[in-house]
Amino acid sequence: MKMLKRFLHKKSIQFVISISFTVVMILGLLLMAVLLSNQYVSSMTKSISENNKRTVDQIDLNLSSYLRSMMRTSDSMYYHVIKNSDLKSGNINSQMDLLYETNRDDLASIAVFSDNGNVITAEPLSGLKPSANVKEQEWFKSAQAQIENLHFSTPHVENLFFAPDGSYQWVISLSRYVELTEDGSVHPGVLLVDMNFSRIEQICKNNSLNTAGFVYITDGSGEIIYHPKQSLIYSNLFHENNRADAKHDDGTFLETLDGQKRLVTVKTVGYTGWKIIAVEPFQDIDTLYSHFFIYAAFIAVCVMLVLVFINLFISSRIADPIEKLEGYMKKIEGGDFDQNIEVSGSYEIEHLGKAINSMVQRIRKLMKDIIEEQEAKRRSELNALQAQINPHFLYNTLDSVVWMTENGHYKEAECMVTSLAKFFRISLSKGKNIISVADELEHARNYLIIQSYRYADKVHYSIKAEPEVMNCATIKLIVQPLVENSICHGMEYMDDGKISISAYKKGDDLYIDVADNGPGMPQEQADSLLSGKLQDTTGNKGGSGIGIRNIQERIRLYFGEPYGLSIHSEPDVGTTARIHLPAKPLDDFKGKE
Amino acid sequence: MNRKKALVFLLLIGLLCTTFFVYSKLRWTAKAKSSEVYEISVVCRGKDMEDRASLKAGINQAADDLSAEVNYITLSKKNDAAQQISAMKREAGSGANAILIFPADSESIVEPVHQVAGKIPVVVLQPYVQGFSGICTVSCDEFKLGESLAQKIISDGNAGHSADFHIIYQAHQSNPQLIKGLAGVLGKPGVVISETELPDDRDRAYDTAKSILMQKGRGNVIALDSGSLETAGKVKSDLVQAGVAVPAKIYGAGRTDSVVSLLENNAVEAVGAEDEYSLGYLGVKMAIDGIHKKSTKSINVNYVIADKTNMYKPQNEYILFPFLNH
Repeated sequence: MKMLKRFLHKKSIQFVISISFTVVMILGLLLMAVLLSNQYVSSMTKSISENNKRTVDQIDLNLSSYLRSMMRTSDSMYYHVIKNSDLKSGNINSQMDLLYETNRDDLASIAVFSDNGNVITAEPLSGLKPSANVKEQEWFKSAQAQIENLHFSTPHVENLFFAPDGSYQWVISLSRYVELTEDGSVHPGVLLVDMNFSRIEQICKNNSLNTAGFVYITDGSGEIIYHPKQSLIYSNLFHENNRADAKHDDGTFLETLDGQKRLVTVKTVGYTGWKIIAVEPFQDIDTLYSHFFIYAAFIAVCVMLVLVFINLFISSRIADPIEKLEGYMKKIEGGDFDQNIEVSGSYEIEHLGKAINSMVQRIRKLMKDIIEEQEAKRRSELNALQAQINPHFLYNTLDSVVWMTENGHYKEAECMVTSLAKFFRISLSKGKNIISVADELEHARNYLIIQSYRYADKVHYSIKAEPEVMNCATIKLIVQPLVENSICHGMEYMDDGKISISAYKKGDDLYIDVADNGPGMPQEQADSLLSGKLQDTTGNKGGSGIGIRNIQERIRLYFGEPYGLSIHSEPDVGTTARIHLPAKPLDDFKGKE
Repeated sequence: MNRKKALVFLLLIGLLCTTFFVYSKLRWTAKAKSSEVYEISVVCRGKDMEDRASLKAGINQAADDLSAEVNYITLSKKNDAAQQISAMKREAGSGANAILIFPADSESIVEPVHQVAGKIPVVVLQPYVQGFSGICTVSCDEFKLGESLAQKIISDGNAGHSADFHIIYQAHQSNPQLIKGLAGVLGKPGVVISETELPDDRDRAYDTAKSILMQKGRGNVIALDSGSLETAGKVKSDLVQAGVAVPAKIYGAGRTDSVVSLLENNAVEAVGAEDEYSLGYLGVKMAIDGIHKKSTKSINVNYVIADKTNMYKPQNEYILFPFLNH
């Protein structure tokens, strides 16, 4: 079993299916063929036996009827003629003649003999041959030996009486002991009824078996009464197993004679003890069987071939689409995602093909999305990277520092340079994109310090943060551009501009609001800024160069869709830019960049 | 399943069907051959086969058993070799599968038999002449039959020191081998064995037989065939009935119902009878074996020497009283 499993393990589906079905089919066919053949053989033998039995029964019926008729003739002769007559006074010839004439087709003669072999009377009338020795005849001796019974002899030539035409007839003698009444006294005698042998021959020939089979009759000891090849048997040209067959009880059996198998059916004829024996040479049956087996073998092989053909067809219908699918998968495995999988076959395979097709397309799309996402990220990061060192802001700030230094405002200059250093340090953050909220707010603070010097206290600001959010993670350079926006688009021309930055936590979310009391804008305009319909020019005015959309993209790139930037504005009231991030500690992002 | 495989399978099935078809055809042909009926012509020696009922029964039985159709060719003139030769050649040319022939008592029949045997199987039954070597013959050993009959004559006490024997036979039916067998046993110094051919005409044959039997001092009569045996027996029976003493004993070879009756009535002392049924049966069997190209060899059939005391014994009964369809 293990070997079989190992053998089949590496084989193709088609091979496994084909071999399995073929083996099962062949075994099934063979079993069926053997069973059917056995059934056929036994049915045929039974049918032939029954046919033989029917023939033998029919012959028995006819023969018994004939023998009974002869026995009735003998009984009639004895009980109705001889017993009722006194031979001295009465003449039994006329009654005997009547009996004879009534049965002349079946009878050769009827005769009555005295105990010492003299003819009392005989019909047809004819003289006894001088050479006839009645007392030495077997039928005479049998009748005298057993006076109760009727005796049937074996066939012999009638040799007692002269035949009118000089011919000699084969007869079977039916003899019995009789009591003859003569002149009042009873004397023993013998009644002889010679039956025409040809009648028995006719009975057997009228009910013969098929061409090769035949029926013959023996007496109880196996002596042949009738045989279709009787002359040949006497001439030793034909050999029959009569003695052995006659010993069998009634029934059917197989025997071998001279190397030939024969089916023999035996039936005993009542009263006489004769045996009717039907012989069917088995060579015809064997020929029939062999022809049947050859036909069956031919048909079995044809059916097997057809079934193997169908088997291979069906298994290929199952396996070919799977193999085709496997081919496609190999190509996909090799990186070729541009396959359009077209597989036909069963519903399941087609569905599998479609599912794989859909999966491949989805993989292709996802890969494309990832690439695009990565590209967008890289672009955003590049923009942010570029913005980290904004030359305009640097120039302006350094100019301010120079002016302050030239004008003796050394402390303000020192403060400005310090804030600028801090600003750029956090901008760079050693190349990291994710920093703490504390650092991002510090970055905005330093920007505001610088801007407040530049804009001569026109800008007032406040930065508030809940302590628990200080260590949360955020993307860098998202607050400062908003502050820059507020200053550029509102505060620049105001005297009491206020910018409030607040960082707080709501649930699992982190919010950083940058609110100003600038001129504000309609909400639609604010929405358009985020959607990109309206261009954000912040980057063009000497600021950090990072636009509102960049902030939105970067937040969504890093943290996903629900997070991002929202702007709420009301004309003449002010604008609040709200950054929405997940409240995750910075430690969660360490080592991931 | 590709086209190539499908083609291979179709080819295999086609091959199988063709083999099956060829087998069926061969089987049908074999069956037709086995049920083929053979045409066999029997060229007789005389005008009919009436006195050879047993022989005819044997031929007909064999024809039934072996699927043959028998055609009897009789002659307008008894023992006419020329007619027999012509009949043989005609039958061979007319499509007979084999020929059985009871050859006439003439050397001239020998060569034509060999010629016809070169084309179709020929079986010779009861030949009176020699020269049929290489041809299948079925007959009784006439020489031994003659010897056995002679022994019977001796055992009956009818072959005394000076007993003569008169051999009679029907026209053209001398049996040299039978005569040799008889003479070999009976031919002692001083014993005269003479031969007389009876005339064809029945009445003249009767008169000839009568004249032989009436001759005083004549020894015993030995008839070589059933016809002359019947004639001689009938003559003796008539003479005895007429009160004429006929001291000559009659022996002979041949069997008819009349011969058996004469045997039973003491007109004939003993007969040597061949198993004519077997003769006819084996003749047809050998002919069919010849058609099937099986090797055939000459066969001798059985005979019995029967007299009144043993004629009804079972071993003699079946030859003297053959089973014939009534």
